[in-house]
Amino acid sequence: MYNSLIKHNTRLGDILLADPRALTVMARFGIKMGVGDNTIAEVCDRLHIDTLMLVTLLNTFIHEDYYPDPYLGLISVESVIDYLRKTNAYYLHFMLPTIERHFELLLARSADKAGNLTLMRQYFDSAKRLLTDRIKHDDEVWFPAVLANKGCRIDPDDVEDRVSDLMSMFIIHLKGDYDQQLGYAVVLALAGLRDDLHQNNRIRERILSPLSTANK
Amino acid sequence: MKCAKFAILLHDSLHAIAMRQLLGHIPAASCAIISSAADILDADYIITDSTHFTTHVKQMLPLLSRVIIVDNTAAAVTGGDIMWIDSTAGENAIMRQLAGLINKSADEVDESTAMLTNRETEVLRLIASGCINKEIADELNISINTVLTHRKNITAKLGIKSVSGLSLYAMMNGIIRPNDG
Repeated sequence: MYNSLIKHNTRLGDILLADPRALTVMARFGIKMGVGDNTIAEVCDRLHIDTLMLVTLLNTFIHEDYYPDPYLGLISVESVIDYLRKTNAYYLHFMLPTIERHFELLLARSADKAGNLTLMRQYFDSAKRLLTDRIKHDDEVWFPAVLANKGCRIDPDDVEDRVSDLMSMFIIHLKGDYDQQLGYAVVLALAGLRDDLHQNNRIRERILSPLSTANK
Repeated sequence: MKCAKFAILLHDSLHAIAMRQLLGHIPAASCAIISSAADILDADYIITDSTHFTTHVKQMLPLLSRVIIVDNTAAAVTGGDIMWIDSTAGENAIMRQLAGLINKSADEVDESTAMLTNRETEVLRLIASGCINKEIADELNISINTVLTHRKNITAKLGIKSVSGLSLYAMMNGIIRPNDG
């Protein structure tokens, strides 16, 4: 984990080496690997990205105790929404299908006499439905309301808890014969989703939500 | 009770065949019998004799589950996860002793993995059945604060936060049936 506060002159490579999960943030801005020893400001200049916006998002994404309040008025709402749309697309088109693919293989190659893996798969489907409902609400209600300068209340859901609970089912409670390697693959994919949800929830709650409320 | 996996490592192949037949009569042993020495790390019980114990098993003890030595002399190494059965005791006596050892060990395992107290299991059953705190308190004749304490302990012990996750756990462990939640 990158421990220092990120600034415009921080080398991007240092951040990504210390916390590779931030690569997903880079991807949503179209920043590819091979960043050399460029600073954030240099990369942003080259790709016409708002430097303050990227620094603020990265600090919020990486640091649990970071609150970007002083910079909220300087950040483009459209850019934050564009970032969150790409985040949602990443869940829909990459993370959820990856977990499903691993789960299908695991079910296909495991005896699962007690039916526990099948129950866990159904539980994953319920978490997936909640997440897709959240994304639909973002697209149809929340984002348009923020862009139209209207206030909009966000009802909390427990997607993150469900993903975390499913990991506990695998790691602590799963019994019976199943393919260990494929089990690991499901858990690691779930961990990736849980972390990304957790880190981007901070961006939703600490950046877009205050902007939404301020517009009320 | 879970099915046990056995690895049979006996010097005398006739004894090994007889042991397979004996295990077939013990309900807890109805699962897999694995015989390859390479698979013994996978076994719940390794049934062996003094000779094989010394040559094949002893050096792997830290990696093994339970070892049952069937021999005509009391093994000096018995204790902990190593048990001894007198091979001269006769077929029925050996079978009884094996069944006793296996059932005892299975009970110990069940007890060690039972993460919740009976009361917590009751609370979990009601949570998973969709009851709210007040209904749980009324049903069990306890205060709402006690219900909250049980809920906190259940979540901490199981590592499960959501009600839906607790329901899944309850289904997986036979505390409720899939249609009860």
